[in-house]
Amino acid sequence: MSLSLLSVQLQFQQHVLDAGDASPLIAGDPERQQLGLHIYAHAYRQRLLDTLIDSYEKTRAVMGEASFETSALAYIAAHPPTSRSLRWYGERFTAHLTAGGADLPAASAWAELASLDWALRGAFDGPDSEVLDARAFAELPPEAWASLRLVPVPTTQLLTLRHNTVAVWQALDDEQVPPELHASEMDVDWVVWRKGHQPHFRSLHRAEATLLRAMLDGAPFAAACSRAEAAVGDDRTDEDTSMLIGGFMRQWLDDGLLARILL
Amino acid sequence: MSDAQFRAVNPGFGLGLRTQHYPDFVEAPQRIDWLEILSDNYLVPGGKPLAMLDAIRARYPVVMHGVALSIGAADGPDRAYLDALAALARRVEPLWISDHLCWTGVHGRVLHDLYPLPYNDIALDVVVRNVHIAQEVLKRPLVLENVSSYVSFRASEMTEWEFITEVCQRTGCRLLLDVNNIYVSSVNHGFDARAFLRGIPADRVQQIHLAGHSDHGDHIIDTHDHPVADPVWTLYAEALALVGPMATMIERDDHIPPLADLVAELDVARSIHAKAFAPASRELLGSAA
Repeated sequence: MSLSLLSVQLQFQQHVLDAGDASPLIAGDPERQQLGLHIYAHAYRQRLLDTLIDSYEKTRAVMGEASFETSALAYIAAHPPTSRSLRWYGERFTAHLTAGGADLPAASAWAELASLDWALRGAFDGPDSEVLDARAFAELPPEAWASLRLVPVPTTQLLTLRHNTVAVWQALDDEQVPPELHASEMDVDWVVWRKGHQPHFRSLHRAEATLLRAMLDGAPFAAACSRAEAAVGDDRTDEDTSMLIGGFMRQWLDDGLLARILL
Repeated sequence: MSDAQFRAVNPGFGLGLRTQHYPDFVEAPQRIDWLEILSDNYLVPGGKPLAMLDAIRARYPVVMHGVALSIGAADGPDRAYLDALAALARRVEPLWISDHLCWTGVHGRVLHDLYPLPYNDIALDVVVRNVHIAQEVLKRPLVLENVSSYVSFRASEMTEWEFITEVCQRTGCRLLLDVNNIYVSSVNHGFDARAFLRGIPADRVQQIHLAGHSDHGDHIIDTHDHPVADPVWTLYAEALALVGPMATMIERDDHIPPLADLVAELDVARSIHAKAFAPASRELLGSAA
């Protein structure tokens, strides 16, 4: 009786994924069978490895080829692809580095670098949007401010980095010898987004990060400002805080970080 | 568009669009007639890939070529993927949409490779069902490419070219004849490449692919990282004699050289094509017929 197509494909797939024995399916002499099956199994891992290398170029440069390949092959074994696009294959690699690195002191730093690599990749081909300029604010009636919502461009992502990750990334991007990856004295918030065709990132004042996070959460402007005021602390006057927030907003307009005003 | 009108669309000589060559295509006219895009690279939300695609599409006719349709998968084509392809097609307005006569995974796995099918009636029924589904969603005939392969299945009951012929006859789909893949598989499986060429329905061929490969002596791997090899050029000339004037392009996916090198390689295809259909050749073909 003929095997169903599904049973042939499942058995072949099991060989590629997990070295299952598919030789009973294959025609030809045993040597040719094994050669053909090996070509497919090897190509599967190599293609996924190449995808991870492409997505995590800077992470690999810091980890070293051997450590990266060990982690990547473990990831490939644990995460057979389910998406039609290879673009998303590395989506959980940062979590994989974190989870698998309990006995590796550098693992959390590598994972942080990987999160920056992935965020920049996301900004590169994330959704397009319109970008606000200052004229949009000039036309607003004063009473609209308390309840309006500012919508950041859809590629906006916030990262809290605990290491000198950006300095290392930047040095590698400039083809310079990077500094040692090490923990910073304090956590720093960063925003990643796309301006034009180019992914950008920059560090954020603590209050600016709070304000931006509130806006990403969809908070009304007044509520977002209250959260930012709390982050500023008690040593500033209301006037100082207003000037600070005004400065953030001017910077966001310059950066092309705002997409829309929802009234 | 009728089948005859569809077949008559021949944009000439093209290349695969690769990111390395975006600036070349945006900054100056290039001596190519059309471009084949890898559809899957543009199934992204936005950013530079789609902006470049729009800019380049404004300058060149485009064909959409995919690798993830998995038209031979027993559990059927993925509806969301087909819908995404259809949306990209509305944006690009391609001359046609192609993918491979193969499968890439089942039961929710997508292994990102082009696996051959067992060539039998069971697989044929599945492929025919899936092609009908895809053509209904995409609202046009699919153009399917023969793959290179490294195994053949015991369950096969017909040749690859007999299988291809049946798929074409039962679905109305068209063929993307990859001459390099025919050569690679003929060496790996020990069949006669000319029998393959003679076996496929010449009037269903819509386009020809040319590419390089890696020759390992007792087997060949379809790597697309070298110039087109001499035996493939020879087979190209023989294919043209059977299928007639045909849209032709060169694929290069690794060790990608400057665009000028690929344009020069495309000149070899132009030259072979011109020679095949020069007046003297036509007379010979006519007298042979």
